[in-house]
Amino acid sequence: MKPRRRKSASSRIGDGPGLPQLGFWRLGLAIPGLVSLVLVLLGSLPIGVPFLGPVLPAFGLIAVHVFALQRPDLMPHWLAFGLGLVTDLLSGGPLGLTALVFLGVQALSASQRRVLIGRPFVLGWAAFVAVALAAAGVSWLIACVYFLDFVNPVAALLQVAVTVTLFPLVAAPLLLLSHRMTGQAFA
Amino acid sequence: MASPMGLLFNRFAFAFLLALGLTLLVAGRSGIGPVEQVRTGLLDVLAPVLDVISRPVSAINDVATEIEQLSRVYEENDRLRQENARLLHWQAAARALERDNAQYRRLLNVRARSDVTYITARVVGESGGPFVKTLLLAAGERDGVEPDQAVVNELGLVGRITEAGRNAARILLITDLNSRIPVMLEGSRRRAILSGDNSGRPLLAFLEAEAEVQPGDRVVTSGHGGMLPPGLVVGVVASVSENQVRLRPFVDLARLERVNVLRYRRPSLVNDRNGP
Repeated sequence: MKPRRRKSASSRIGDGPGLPQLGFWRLGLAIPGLVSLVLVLLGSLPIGVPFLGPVLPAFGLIAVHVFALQRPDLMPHWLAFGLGLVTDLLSGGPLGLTALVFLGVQALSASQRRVLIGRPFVLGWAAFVAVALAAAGVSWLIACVYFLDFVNPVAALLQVAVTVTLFPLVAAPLLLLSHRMTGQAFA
Repeated sequence: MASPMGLLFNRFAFAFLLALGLTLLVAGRSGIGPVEQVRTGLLDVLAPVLDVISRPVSAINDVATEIEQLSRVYEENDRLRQENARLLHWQAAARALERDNAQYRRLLNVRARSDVTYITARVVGESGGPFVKTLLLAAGERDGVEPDQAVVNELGLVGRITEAGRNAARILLITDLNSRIPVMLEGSRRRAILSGDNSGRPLLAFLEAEAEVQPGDRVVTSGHGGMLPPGLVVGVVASVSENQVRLRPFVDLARLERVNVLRYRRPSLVNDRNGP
């Protein structure tokens, strides 16, 4: 009998350890996208908490950053862009603004894998502060050009503060999920 | 490791999406292409999903509000009793004025103001973003909601409808950067434009220089332009400085669960029945 030399065809998925090419696992590949979509939807619910009233945390930004960092193969450009488009549709803001910002965040976070993977959580948190500030800065610039007006940046900074504060709460389960998926892939 | 072909594809995908995003922004800004129609169509798809997942959040909010109210029920009861006594006096005065008004209208043959009817709908989503202040409503054209209709709650003006799909609609809040509402000071009848700037305190722009305005003055819609019915309460003047007058809305725009959309028949110069 001919020996099976190919361990798995999953090495095609990005540069991380792959998942077995079984239908069940293929479904699992959609989990990061679905979880991110749920977070985007949660980010536009009328929560009604007084101190969160003016701006809601950008849960979608956290999801794009964490998955692009941990599993860029499961958070490709198009997915980040699509999540941004859904955010724009829900918010009623300029269509394409968040899509471009999420696309940039995906590219930026994925490029920092070698620097950030395996480092303490606090360092990852600090890196997210930089990513969130950069995203807010770019969003604000696009908004000013789009509206041809000086848009008050305070709300954008407030959103960064709220999102960064809630980052551990949202990122921890996402990290667990991506580690678990990687662990299964190793098995 | 990713293959060179994979890397090339990746770069191409990035460049393509970047170009697509910029095209969408330009098209959306200049109104080229069917961006608005696509947007409204997708709103119809997303709104029912939000409607479902917002229900548990709404239930939790209701419970939290009830607990909050229970904790100060005695204090609230006392306040309401005093308010009730005061309102009973007002009710008597209002009835007398209503009678007089009806009599004068009959004497002068005044045409009654256009009919205003309400559609009550649930808020299922909010923009949450820092650059736009909008809400999503679980009611659309099917329920009689149309663009430019005023949205109020029991306290005052919330905003106006900007997009209406079949099952969902979007409200532009009075605090949004793009919101412009013709208003007037209730006491002096001086006109102004309520201009949002994404802060919680919109500006009263184009207020006549000689207009006397003080913090606490009530502001209502003027009805100019025919878009919104006149006399809807909006808020009170919050601050007056040399350069700007700011308003504090009566409605807590961060905590809205249900709102009323006003179906208002704009006044027309042409007689609908006997027109050409």
